[in-house]
Amino acid sequence: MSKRKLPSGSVALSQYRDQHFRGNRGEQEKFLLTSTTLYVGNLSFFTSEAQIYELFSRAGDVKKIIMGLDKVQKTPCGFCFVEYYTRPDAENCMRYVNGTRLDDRIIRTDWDAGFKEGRQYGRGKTGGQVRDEYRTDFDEARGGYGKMLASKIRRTSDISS
Amino acid sequence: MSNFEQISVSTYRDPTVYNKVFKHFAFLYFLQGVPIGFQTRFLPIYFRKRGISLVGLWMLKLLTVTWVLKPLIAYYILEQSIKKRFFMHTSYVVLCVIFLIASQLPMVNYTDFIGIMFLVNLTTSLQDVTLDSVLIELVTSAQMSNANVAQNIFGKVGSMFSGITFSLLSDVVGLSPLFYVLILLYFWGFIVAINIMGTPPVTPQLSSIAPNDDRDLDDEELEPPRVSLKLKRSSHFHNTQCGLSNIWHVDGTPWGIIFLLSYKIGELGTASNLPIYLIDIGYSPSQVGLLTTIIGELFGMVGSMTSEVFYHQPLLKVLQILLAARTVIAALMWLLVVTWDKSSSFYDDRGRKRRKIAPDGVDIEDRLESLITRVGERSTSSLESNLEGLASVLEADIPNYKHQIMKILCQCVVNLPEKLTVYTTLVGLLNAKNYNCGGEFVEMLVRNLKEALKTGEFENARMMVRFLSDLVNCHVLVATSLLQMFDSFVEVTLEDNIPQVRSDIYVYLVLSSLPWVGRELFEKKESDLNSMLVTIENYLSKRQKIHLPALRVWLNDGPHLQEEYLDCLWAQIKNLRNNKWIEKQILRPYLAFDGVLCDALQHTLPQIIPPSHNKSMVYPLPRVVFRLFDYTDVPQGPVLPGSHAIERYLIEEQINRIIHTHHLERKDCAAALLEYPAKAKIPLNYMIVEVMFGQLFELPRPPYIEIFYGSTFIELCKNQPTSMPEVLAQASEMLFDRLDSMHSICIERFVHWFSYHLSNFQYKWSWEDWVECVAMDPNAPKSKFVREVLLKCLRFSYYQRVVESVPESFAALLPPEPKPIYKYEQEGAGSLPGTMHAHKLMSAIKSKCTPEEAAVLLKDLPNVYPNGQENENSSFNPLKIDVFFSTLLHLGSKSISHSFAALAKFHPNLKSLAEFDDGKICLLKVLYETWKNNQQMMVVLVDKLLRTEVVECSSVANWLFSFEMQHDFTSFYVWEIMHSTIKKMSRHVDQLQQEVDSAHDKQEAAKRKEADGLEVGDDDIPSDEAIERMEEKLEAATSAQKNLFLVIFQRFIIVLTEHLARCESAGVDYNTPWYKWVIERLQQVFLMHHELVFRYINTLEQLLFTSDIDIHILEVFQQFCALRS
Repeated sequence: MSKRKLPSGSVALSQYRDQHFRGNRGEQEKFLLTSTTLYVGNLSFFTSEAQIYELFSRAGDVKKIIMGLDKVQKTPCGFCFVEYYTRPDAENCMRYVNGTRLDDRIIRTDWDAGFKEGRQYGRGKTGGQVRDEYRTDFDEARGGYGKMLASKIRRTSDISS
Repeated sequence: MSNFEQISVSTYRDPTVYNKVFKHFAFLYFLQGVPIGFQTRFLPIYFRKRGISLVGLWMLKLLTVTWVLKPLIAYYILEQSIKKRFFMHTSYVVLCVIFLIASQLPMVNYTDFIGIMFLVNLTTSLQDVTLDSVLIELVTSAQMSNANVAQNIFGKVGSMFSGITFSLLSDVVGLSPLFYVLILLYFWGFIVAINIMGTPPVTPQLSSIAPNDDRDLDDEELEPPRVSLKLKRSSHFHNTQCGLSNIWHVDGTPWGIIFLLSYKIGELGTASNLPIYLIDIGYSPSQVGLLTTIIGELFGMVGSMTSEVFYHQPLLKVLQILLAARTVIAALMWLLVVTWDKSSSFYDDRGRKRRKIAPDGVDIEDRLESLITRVGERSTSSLESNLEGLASVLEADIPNYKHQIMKILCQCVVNLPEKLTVYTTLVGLLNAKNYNCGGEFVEMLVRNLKEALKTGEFENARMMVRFLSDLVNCHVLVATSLLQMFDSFVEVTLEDNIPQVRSDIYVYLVLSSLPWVGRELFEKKESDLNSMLVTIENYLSKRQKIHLPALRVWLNDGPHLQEEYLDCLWAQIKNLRNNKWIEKQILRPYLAFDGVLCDALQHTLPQIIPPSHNKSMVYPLPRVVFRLFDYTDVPQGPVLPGSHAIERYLIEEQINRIIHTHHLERKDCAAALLEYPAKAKIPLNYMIVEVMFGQLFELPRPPYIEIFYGSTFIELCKNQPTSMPEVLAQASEMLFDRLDSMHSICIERFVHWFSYHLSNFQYKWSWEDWVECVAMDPNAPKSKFVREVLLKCLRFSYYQRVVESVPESFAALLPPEPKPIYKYEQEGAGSLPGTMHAHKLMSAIKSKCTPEEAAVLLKDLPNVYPNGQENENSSFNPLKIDVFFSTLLHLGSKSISHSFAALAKFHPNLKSLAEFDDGKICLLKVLYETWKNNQQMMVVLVDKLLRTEVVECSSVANWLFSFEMQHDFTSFYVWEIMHSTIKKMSRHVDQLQQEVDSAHDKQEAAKRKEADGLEVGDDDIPSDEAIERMEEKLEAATSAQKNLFLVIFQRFIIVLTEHLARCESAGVDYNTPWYKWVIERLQQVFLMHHELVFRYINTLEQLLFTSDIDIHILEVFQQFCALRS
């Protein structure tokens, strides 16, 4: 019975693992299980740090917010990291903020092993988030169509004009 | 026709084409094997793991009956050979659809599977026939034996594949992903099938040189269940012209049938029970799947292949070899099982070798726990039969697992009180079967109850008392002994020199159990019950209720009475008594077992005397019952029980318990609330909304974090989109209507929730209905409410959004645009004394100067106020602070992060500019001047300044009470800052306290080690000096905390006394909206931090709340003190 019970339910770790993490899976999991930092996804490009602050403070005292930026343009690209002072506050955020709306969008939160310099930038080829490269729907709050599709549309319209 | 024939035959002689088609068939046969594996290998294991009985598993087997129908299907299909392709294609599609449906169903129950598996079996058997017949059409007789083997092997592979993968996967993922896998496979099958059909058929005549009977038999012998039967059957039916009856006349057919039947029974008996046996002795499904499927099937395949070897041997010899092998194997299995059972201590007491078989003995306990905790959940069979089944299972396990079972049941008492009567019935049944067992359970529960009373876990104690009461109904306990316990609890009211909260809680323990056991006591011991009730009534009529105003959500009693919790429950109990103790809300499963329970022997409850009072004991605070609705508010459907009906209490209690159980998972919580057992009889949505708001507005603090209520309401709206939003909107309207008499703390929580809720629903609200508040006094509650909601919405979204979401008539209530003010760049800045320096500083900071360089720039600024007025106080320089800090804030104004970065870089400058208290307050005033239009920025930056120790908690308090902040004094953000400051202070103290405690612990541990003569590593043992330093720090922090409270309360007294004096001299009513906000903010400081304030209550009484202050202010203090007296 000495075996520690892993967190379950909404505070459990998700399947996602950051592929750029330096260290092995075990270490990564250990970090995730004690982390006070959350990754926040599906934000609108126009959502400001202050708005995130307001919502996330409802779950506890926020220490720091790091906005995700487009590597090339250095503008927000739809994700951020939120760091709390304590683990229980971060857990409350996973329980009660994850899956609710901010700026009319359902946002997603997930455990993060802790912010490291460089991670604030999008990892897509064109600078934004990878998911915005291949997206085929039109999402006004995230720069319209996905980058690939948008450039294709641009090319076609160039030819036709 | 003959042409066609020619082509197709030649096609099949071409080896490449043959190979391709062969591959396709291989895949299709593989697919045929999949459902077999699914239901014969995976499902039994899966269900057994979930505790389905062996009979249940055999029922599952009955489903294979459809396979018996196969000959009929085959007959029909082969008659209509054209349609068979159609049948085949459709069957793949149909299977896809079936599994798609299955993946969408909850599939929690065994019975859900029956329907699905029946359909699957039906379709697969149909598919099987068509596939066989198509194959027969396509291959030549020479290829037949090849095809036969291939068919067997791939069928096996398929069944093995599904058996093993599903067993493995089911440990990790749920069922629906498994169904998705099946859908994919069948879709692929569909495509392959279409592909095959591209090749033209061979005429039936060609393949009618089908295998002879002998071969079929041979095949059959070697092959387990059904796969092998196919070729034989289909070829038979192919030759139906020859007549079914011919077979019967072949020599030995009846004997063959008898032989086959007994053979099959033996085979199925051993092969399919082994995995189940393995599960029972504690293997996990994936292990069993791996063992039986891989190994078993591998050998099966080897067997199939040997059929090829034996093909040319005489049949009898083959049979002999086979049967001999089988016998040996069966004997081995029998031996294995017998020795296993003997060596295993699973069913014997010595427990000597248990580890060997169940490497984790936890498994059985887990199973017991899951069985017990899940009884009473929704299920297809009746609660009574579930309870009966569980009772017999537990009875069997009691000799070996008594302690574990008792422990689990005791946990259920406190953790699952919503199913209380289910568990009392279970205990009743166990007691009826095994008298000692009932006695030991009561003993254990009583021990737990005594412990809970001693350690102050009164909520758990209440559940145990209620459980014991209900055990009287189940004939486990004697009614008199329960009454004795009640009497000893009620006697607490006669003790002297105890706080009222102590006697309150003991009376509450009794009263809250009476709805369960009242009737029984009334029938058996009416006079004793009545005399106890008289004692309670006497007590309740004499109780002090000074604390009541401090806990009321609404100040007056209209439209609903604001009752103290004991008074309300007493009124409800009186009503219950008038109804002869009959209520309609409690589920009482034991009534169905009356015959069994009646005969049971009853136990006498041992004497339980409440532990005597001691000073350190903290009793639960009193409460006021929150009421929002009455029956007139519910437009249709069932009637809302009245506020003094016992049903109202019971429903509230149940909903509170559901919330308590699920408060960590908002989705489960919403689902559980909406699944309320007796939901058809009550207006459930109204009850949920009332109870949730009751908790949210509970004073001093809500039981759970505020956002829990907000996000759960959103979940409820999502689950009930047609009805819940409506009720919530109605509640919001009613709350708004009653704002004038609502406590400020509750208005604040209402603002928090309402703004959050709007932000999740696109800020849509019928604002026009509230237009009355535009013209009101800005301090009037309704006007304030709307302003503050809009301010919060602004923080959640952005200025333009808020402007657009309210009607134009609300313009006066809109907050200003949240922009910073920088006076050194405004018009007329040239005349200010600091402008030149400010500009210089700005360009220096922009070109990344160091903090020292920045300090040098300010050196020659005179010690004056920014307006040029001389400052006589030499401890700080207001102009320097203003120029430096406002420029810094201006440059960092782009975002919170920019501001933080600026504060971090120039931290030393800020520290030295605001070294003393006046400087700190001056700094905060500059912050206000810059960010007064952006409250969030102020809140965030004050927090940062406190954490970086640029300012102190007391300076923040003094600043908030200062003249400059008077204008904003009733604004919510001021109090947001105030309370977060107090919280930070207390967290700081707590942290230091923990450090001191752990240092002491470490030292003591080291001393003990030393005393025991053990070696002590000296690296992390704190020295006496270190501990002393820590204690000094803690002492300093504690006195700072005390000082903070003194400052706050003193400033409150000054502000309020001034107001009261002013009103008195002007001869006007003191009770203005401003006064209400401020006096209730004073109350809030008491309530929100009540544990802390109680620590300093004596100091406060001596220094501040003395008899010479105004009675209105003193009253607040007295009400607060009454909370614990």
